[in-house]
Amino acid sequence: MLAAIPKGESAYKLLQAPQHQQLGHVDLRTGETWGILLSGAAVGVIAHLLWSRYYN
Amino acid sequence: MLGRGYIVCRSAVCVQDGQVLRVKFKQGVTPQKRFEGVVRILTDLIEDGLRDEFVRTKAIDIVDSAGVRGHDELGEIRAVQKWIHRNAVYRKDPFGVEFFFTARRQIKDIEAGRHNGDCDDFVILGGALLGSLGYPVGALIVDSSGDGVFNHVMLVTKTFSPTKEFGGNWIPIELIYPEFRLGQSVKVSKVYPLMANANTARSPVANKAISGLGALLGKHPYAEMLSGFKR
Repeated sequence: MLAAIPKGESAYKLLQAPQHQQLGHVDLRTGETWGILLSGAAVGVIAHLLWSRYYN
Repeated sequence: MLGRGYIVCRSAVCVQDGQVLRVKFKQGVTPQKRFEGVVRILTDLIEDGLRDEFVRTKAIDIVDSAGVRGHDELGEIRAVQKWIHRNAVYRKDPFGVEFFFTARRQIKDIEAGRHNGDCDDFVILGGALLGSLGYPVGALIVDSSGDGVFNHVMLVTKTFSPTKEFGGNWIPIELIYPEFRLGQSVKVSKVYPLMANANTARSPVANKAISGLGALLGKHPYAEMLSGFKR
């Protein structure tokens, strides 16, 4: 009969080292924020100009 | 077992869905090159598996059959680990050759009662199943002999909500020894985690073929590996 394989937590402990803390970090920023803000502002300005032209 | 030299060899079966990638090692390839190549194939196959609807259906079936309730993240992880412990059969690769089985192929083999694979196949299977359930997964390459050479691979994952047992920490999962619980491992002296990228837009490994001018000119990723080995 084979002897039991020794178990431990060495891998778990090594994984908690600071260099592994950003492992698999998911960055939810898409870089689209400024694009959406600027295009929204542009649409707003155009809508305002058109409204002013036809209804004033 | 990791750490043998190799050359990628793709036979006709490799091109078909859910098949085997056979890698034959060649003399003169440095251990570092071999290691880099192995982990790359490993994570590529995990990524392919976690995007496979067949694999996700099986993962859902596993956690449902285990009676795991929704939002029980550790329960899902444990259910997948136990399912692999109960159903997957560890067999060493032939000397000098590394076989990689896709997750789909391994599930089909388990269902047919003819599964076999070594630690890297178990990681491909476990990573694909847990990844398909939305968990971040990766291959944790370890040195379990204390001689500075990476010789074994485990799965690594984490829960999104902190748990009493593990907090928000990364959890190593030993898949080849059924008596090992979550977080337990053999004694290791060095770890090298490599995460699978669930958002990859890469075409599946099984759909790639080393052929044509691209391969000859070294533009194919595996052709690049080959050219690296020839130096």
